[in-house]
Amino acid sequence: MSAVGYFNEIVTTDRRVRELGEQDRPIVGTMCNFPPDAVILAAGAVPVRVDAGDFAAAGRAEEFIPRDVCPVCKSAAGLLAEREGIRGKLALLVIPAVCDAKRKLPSVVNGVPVHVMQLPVSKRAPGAEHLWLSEVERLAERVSEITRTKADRPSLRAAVERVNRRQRAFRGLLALRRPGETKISGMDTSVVVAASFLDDIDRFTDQLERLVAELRNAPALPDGPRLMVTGAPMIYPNVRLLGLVESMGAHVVADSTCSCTDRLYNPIVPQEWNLRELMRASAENTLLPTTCPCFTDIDDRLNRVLHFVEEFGVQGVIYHNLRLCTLFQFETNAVREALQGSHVPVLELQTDYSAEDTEQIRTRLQAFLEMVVSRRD
Amino acid sequence: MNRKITLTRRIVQTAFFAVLMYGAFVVPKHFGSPFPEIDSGVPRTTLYPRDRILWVSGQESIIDLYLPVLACRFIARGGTFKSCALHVLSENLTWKTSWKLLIPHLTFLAILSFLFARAWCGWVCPLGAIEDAMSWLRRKLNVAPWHLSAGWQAFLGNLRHILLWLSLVIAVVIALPIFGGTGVNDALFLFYCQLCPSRLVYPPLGGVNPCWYDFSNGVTMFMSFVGWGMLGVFFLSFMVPRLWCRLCAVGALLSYFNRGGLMSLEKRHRACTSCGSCRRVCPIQIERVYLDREHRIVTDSQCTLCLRCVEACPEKGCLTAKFAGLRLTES
Repeated sequence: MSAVGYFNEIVTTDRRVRELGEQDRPIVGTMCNFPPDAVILAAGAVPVRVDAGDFAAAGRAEEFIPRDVCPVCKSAAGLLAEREGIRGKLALLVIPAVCDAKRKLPSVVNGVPVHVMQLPVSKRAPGAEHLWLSEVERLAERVSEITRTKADRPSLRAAVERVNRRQRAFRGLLALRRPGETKISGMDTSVVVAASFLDDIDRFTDQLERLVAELRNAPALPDGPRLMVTGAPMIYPNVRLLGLVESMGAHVVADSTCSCTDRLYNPIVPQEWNLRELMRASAENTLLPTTCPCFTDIDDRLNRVLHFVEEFGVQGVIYHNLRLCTLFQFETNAVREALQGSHVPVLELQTDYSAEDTEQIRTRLQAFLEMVVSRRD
Repeated sequence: MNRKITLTRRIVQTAFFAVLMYGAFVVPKHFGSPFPEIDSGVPRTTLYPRDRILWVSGQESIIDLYLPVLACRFIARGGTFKSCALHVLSENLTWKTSWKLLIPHLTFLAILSFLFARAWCGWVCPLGAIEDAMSWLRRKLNVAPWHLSAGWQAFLGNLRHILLWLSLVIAVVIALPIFGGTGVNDALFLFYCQLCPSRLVYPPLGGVNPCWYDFSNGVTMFMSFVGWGMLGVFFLSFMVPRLWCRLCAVGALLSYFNRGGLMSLEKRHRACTSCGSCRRVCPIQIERVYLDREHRIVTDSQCTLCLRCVEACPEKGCLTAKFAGLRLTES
């Protein structure tokens, strides 16, 4: 546990909030992984992802937000309304209009300038990349207005290289979740990624590289059923599911969620190092490989799950649904069916941020793990 | 990003450029051909007295063999190899050379094409190397490239086949007796060579002047303009990477070997994240590698097998370049 001590500190203490208060670059809050960090960094601002996993805040938000909105948005809205901590320091809040809730979120967020990004409905639709590229360029301009720094070729190139160094380090961490050399738990991985929401990108990468180097020499985790988590995001501190699974001796060795692996998985690959191509690569980087169910396309997502099942030696998949997020619920059966061919069982768990159903989930998990173990042996 | 493949390719391209363009400067010797000499028996000068474009080199190449790339006959001092595949075809169709004499050469060309398909374009062709050098210069100047629209892409993709077959048909037609003495046969001799930029680009690189224009009649005048137009297209490769390659008829001929030849680009769809890197880095804007989600082999007919996509792909084992089923390199 000490290995991820630094990341724990970033996630649980106010160290980073204090640091951000002491520096003078404007802070840009982002939601989802769609607004490219590279572009915000290049324009001279500090990107901070403000999606939230706080249960209490979700409840408090019900005063001004419909109750039938998913906890991710409710929680984020609740915390944004209170404007405490990092959320009191935002110079701009970038919301990609991915789903109904995020589309309407700008109308209930007060006191902070909001920039909405439009997304294509399908990634494969003709012109989807062009729409998104123009949205990313618009974002760069908006951030530039605040920072009075243009995202130009040298700054964007440097930012792309910083992001790529981070993604490369994260791939190094993922390599330590493969069969035979599983050295980091799913919980620890999610803490690491949660730290990337807030942390300074370069320091984060340095620490991540250190962690990977340390873990390489560490002993492998004890043997246990190898599970994968996919579906709705588990945003820190709402990671009790991972805790539950791993307290039962199983390991979450892979995931395909936007709150964990998917956030740091894809490097930016530009054709050339001029401004337009850098911008295009940064834009396509957050659009094309994204498996968000807000798009009509689902095959990339199924493909990703099947690939990770193969690569990480997964024996069972947990499909995490958040109550009131119909987009993820729609795709549950498609994932189940896709996995039938490889005989990997799927457990669908529908929860929200409240902990009331913990015991019920524990019972279902126990039964599922028994099945996975019996299938394995 | 790992740049090993591109680095290797640059070295190979430079080496071939030197050998093909300047070989005859170093080894001014004529070895002839391993096959019986192609000779129609008719003195060429009597058939086509004003074979304007032939006079440029006038000298013999080191080896009388043809390559499936633009190893042109207009290279100064005759060059290392005789000429390109399309040249040998159209020239001998017009001369009505006996097939017996042609078959060894054509078989040799077919084998070379079958072995490496359009890797010839990406790794060997001197004109392709010049295009890459222009792109390199543009990148150094931080100028963003132009991307062709899908419509233009498709237009060029079709035009190259039209050029190929048109030049073969013209080669046959001008040999018909009906054109004898009209001057049209002479003016349209080696139709493709007349519009290929190699004819104008190669000689100056060896310190020789090409035949820049021929205004002796309407047809030659027209062909001169078309030749200049194509030269313009070639220089547009500065802005549009490998623009000429997209409509090169020799490339079109080679592209028939891109599927079914020994070289193949394979994709493991399971490992693909659809990140679009392959599509972004492709100098020829090929979309197939990115879009295809079912076939194992994704070699496009426009693909010059430069393997930039293999190099750029961030997913391990997703893209593989194979030769005769053996793995050459993978992402």
